[in-house]
Amino acid sequence: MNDFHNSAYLGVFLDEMEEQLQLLDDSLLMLESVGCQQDTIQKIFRAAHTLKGSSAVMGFKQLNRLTHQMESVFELIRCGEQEVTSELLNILFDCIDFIKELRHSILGGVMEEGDTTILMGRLEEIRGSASGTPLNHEQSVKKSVPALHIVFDNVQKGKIQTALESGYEVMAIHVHMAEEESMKYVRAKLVEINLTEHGEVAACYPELEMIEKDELFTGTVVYILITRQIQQDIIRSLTHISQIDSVRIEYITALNLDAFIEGKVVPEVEQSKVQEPRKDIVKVNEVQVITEKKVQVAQTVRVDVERLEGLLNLVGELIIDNTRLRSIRAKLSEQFKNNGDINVLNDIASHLNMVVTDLQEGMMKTRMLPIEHLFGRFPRMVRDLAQKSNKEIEFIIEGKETELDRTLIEEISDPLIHILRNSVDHGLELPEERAAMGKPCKGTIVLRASHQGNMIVITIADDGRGIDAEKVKEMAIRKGFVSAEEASHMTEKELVMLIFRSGVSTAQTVTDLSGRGVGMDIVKSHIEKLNGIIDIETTRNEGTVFTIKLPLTLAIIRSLLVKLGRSTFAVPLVNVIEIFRLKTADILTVQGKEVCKFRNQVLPLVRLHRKLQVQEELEPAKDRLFVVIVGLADKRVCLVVDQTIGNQEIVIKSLGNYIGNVSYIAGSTILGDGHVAHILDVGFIARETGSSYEALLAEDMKGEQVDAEGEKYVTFKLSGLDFGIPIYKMKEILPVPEIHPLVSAPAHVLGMIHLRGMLFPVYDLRPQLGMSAFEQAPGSRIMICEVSGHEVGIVVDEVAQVCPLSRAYMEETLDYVLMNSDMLDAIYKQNQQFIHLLNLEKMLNLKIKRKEVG
Amino acid sequence: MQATVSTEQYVVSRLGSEKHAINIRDINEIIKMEHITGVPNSKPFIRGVINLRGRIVPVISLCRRFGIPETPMGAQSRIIVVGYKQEAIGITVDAVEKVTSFQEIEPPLESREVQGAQYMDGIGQSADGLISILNVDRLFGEG
Repeated sequence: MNDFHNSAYLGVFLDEMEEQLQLLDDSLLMLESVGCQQDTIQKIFRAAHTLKGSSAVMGFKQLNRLTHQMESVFELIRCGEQEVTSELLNILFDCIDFIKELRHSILGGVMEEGDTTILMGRLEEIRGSASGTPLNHEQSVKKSVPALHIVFDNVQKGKIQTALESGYEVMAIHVHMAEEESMKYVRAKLVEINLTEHGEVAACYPELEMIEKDELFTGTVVYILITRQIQQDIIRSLTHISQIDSVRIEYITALNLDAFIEGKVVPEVEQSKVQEPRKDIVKVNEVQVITEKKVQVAQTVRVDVERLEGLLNLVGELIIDNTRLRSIRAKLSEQFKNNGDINVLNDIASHLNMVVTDLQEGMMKTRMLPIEHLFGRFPRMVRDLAQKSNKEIEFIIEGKETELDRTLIEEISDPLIHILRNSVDHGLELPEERAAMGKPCKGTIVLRASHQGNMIVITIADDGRGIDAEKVKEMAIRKGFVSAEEASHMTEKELVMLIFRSGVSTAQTVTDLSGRGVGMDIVKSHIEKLNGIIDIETTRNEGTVFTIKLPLTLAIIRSLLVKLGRSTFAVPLVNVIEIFRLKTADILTVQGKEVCKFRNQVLPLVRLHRKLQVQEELEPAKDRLFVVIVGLADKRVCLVVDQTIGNQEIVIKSLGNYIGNVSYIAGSTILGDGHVAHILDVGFIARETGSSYEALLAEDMKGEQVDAEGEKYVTFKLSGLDFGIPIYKMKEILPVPEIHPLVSAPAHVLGMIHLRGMLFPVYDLRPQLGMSAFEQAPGSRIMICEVSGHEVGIVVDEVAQVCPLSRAYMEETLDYVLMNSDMLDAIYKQNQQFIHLLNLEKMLNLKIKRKEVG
Repeated sequence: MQATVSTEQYVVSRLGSEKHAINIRDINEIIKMEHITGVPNSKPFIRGVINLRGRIVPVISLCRRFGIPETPMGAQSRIIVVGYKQEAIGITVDAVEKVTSFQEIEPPLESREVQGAQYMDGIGQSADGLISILNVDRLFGEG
C-alpha cells in the first residue's frame, strides 16, 4: 500500500482517470471507424501516457505496468509497425474496461488492483508479433540519417567571437532525447527555455521548428550557448527536464571556433552519461503541463458538488429576501414620497434585484453540464453490444452539447442505457434479416438531445423492426395485466404503452442483453420520478422512437401555482396540459366516480380538497369550476382547484426525512412571501386515478360520442363554400403570418410558419378540392389542427363560427357524384346551410404519428 | 433517572398553564411564531412546515402530541427549533419563559393520568416549583 492511496490527491486522480479513460474510449472508437489518423493516435498516446504517469505517482503498480504495456502498443501503432485490427482493439478495450473497474473499486474504497497478468500477456503477445522486423527497420533508418552539421554563419561567428573576447564561455550543448518521447519539439523548446535562463542561446541545430517535420531527426539537438556559468550548473538544470537521455557539453574556444565554422560533424553521443535517476512525479507533472499548453483547454476548477448546492440554496434564499424587499420598498415609497432617502433605497433595491437575478442565472449554470458527459459513454457500449449480438450498427449522436443539470445526467444514465440495449437487442434485426427486407445491412440508432423550451428532449430512434402491438397484447393478456376484453378496446398506442408494465417483453428469447421484461417499467418509473415523460412511437418494420422529455433541472422548475382553500400548491408546469373552466352541469358520475367531458374526451375528475384535507370553500353558487388538466405519459386527470395564481419558477426542496413520504405531495418550495407551498405529486395522482379508470374510459367513450346535441364543429369558408371540422381537432386559429415556402414541396404544402418557437407546416386544401390556389385576403386565417397526431396549419378564407351540428342533419356523401368522396365524412344540410365535413386525415394523408404527451 | 443535582441548563416553555423544560443543548434556536403550512396526510401531530431561512423545517404541536386541545396562538407564541437526528424540528409553545437549572430532578410520574407522561424525562425542582422535562427523542420518535 502506498502513501498516496489515502491522500487528498486520490479524488483528483480518479477524476482525471475517468477523463483519460473516456478519451481513450472515444479515440479508440475513432480509430476503429475512421482508421489510423495521426492526431487520433497522438491523442490516445497522450491519454495512455498520462494514465501511466499518474498511476505511478499514486502508487498503483499493476495499473502502471498495464498502462505502460498499452502505451508501448500504441507506440507501435503510431510508428505504423502494428496494424489496427479488431482483435487488437478488443484487447485494448478490455484493458480499458479493466481500468474502469479498478477505478470503480477504488471509488468504493477497495484498494486492491486486481490481476493484470492475462491482459499484460495479451498485450505482450501483440507487441512481440509486431516488433520482430520493424525494430531493425528503425535502426536502419537511423543509420542512414545524415550526420548533423553545425555551421556558423558570419553573424553568429561575430557574436561568438565578441562573447569570447569579453570573457563569456561559449558551449555547444548536445542534448539527446529519449526515444519514446512523443513531443520532441516541445521538449527541445523546454530545453531552450531552460538554457536561456543561464545565458543566450546563439543558435541550435537542427532548427527547432524543423524537428517536428523532419523525420530524419535523430533525437539530438545541439545548442550553442553563451554564458558565464559553469558546465555543472547547466547540466544539473537540464537533468531536471524529463525524457532527456543525455547531455554533453563541449566548449567552443577561439581555438576550435574555426572548426565549427567550417562545419563540424557531431559525433554520436554516448548514451546516459550524466543521467540522474529521474523522478516520475516530475515527469507526470510536466507531461500535463505540456499537453495543456498545446491543446487549448478551458480553465476549470473542480468543486465539491455539495458546496455548490449550498451556494445555490443561499441564492434561493436571497431571491426570496429580494422579493420581500421589493414589496416593502413599494410600500415605503408610497408612504414617504418626498423623502430623498427613499429614492436611494429604490436605487439600491433595483440594483440588488439585477445582481440577484444574474447571480441566480450564474449559479444555475454551474450545475449545468453538456450531455456529452453521458452520451460519451454510449458509442463504446453500442459497439460492444453490436459485436455481441452480431449486428452492424451505425450509432449517431446529435446534440451532445445540450446542457442539463448534472444530477439529471446521473439519473437518466440507466434508463438510456436500458433503452439503447433494447434497441440493439430487439429493435434492430440481424444483417441477413435486414437485407431480406430490403433494408441496409447496417442498422442505425440515433441518439439525439435538444432543448425545447424548459425541457430537454432526448430521442432514441432505431430503424429496426418496431414493436409488435399484437405481441405485447398477447403477452399482457397472458400475464393478466389486461383482460382480452379490455385489450380489444385498446388502441395500438395503448397496447404499445403496455411494455412499460413489468414483465412484458416481446423478445422471443432471453439474452444476456435484455428480454426478461424487467426494465421498461423501471425505466418509466425512473423517468417519472424525474418529472419526465416517456413516449414511444413505433411503426412495424420501420423502427421505434423513444422520446424522453425531462425538465432541465431538478432543482428549479416552472410551476403553476394554484389555490385550494387558503393554501397554495404548485403543479409542475411540465405536467399541466390545459386549464379550463368547467360547468358543474358537465360533471357526470360514472361508476361512482366523477368524470368530466372535455373536447370529446372523458377524463376523471379529482377534487383535490378532499385528498389534501383542505377546507372546501363553500360557495354553492359557483357553476363554473377551475379545472387544470394534468398529464403524465398517457394518463390525463382533471384537477379541480379554487383559483389559478400564475406560473413561477420554484426551487424544489424536500420535506425532509422526518416527515418522510406523504401522499400527493412531491416536495415543497418557498414562495415569494416566505411561506412554504407544497408541490403536487402529479405522477401519484395520475397513477391512482388513472389506473382505476382505464377500463371504464374505453367503454364510456363510445356511448358519449354519439350525443344528441351533436358534436361541435368549426366552420370555415374556402372559395365561397362552407366546410367544417370537429372542434376537438382544432388547436388554435391565427391570422396568416409570414409563410416560409419549402423547396420541392407538393402544391398543397404552402410552407412552414413559426409559432412560439415551433414550426408548423401549412397546407392548402384547395388543390385537392379542385379549387384554385390560395390567395391571401384580409379574412384569411390559419387553423392549427391535429391531424394524425401532427399539428399542422391549414389556410382558410374565413373562419365562420363554432356550432354544434346535429347528426340528424348529416348525410352520407354521395360516392357516385364525387371524385374523391373519401375526403368528406359527411355533408350537413339544414335550412340554407350546406356544410362539407372534411376528413383531414384522409385529405392530408400524413404518416400517423402518435400524439406526444406534454 | 436518579434524583441528582444537575448543573444542566433548561429552557422553560409554557403550554396553557403547564410548564415544560427542554435541555438547552438540544435547542438550536427559538423563533417567533410564523406562518405554518400544513402537510396533508402526514402524522397527526405534525402541524406543518415552516421556512427557516430557506430550509423547510417541520413543526410539531405539543398539544396534539399530548392529546390535549390546541391552545390559541398569541403574540407570545414561539417555535422552539430542536436538533433531532441531523434535522431541525420545531415545537410550538405558547411562550418561552426563561432559562433555568434545577437543583433536583426526580423521576417522572408513573401515572398514566398525566397527559404526555411518556414524553417526560423527569421532573425538575426549581424555585418556581415543579417543571416536567421533555425527552426530545421520545417526543419526536415512534410515528
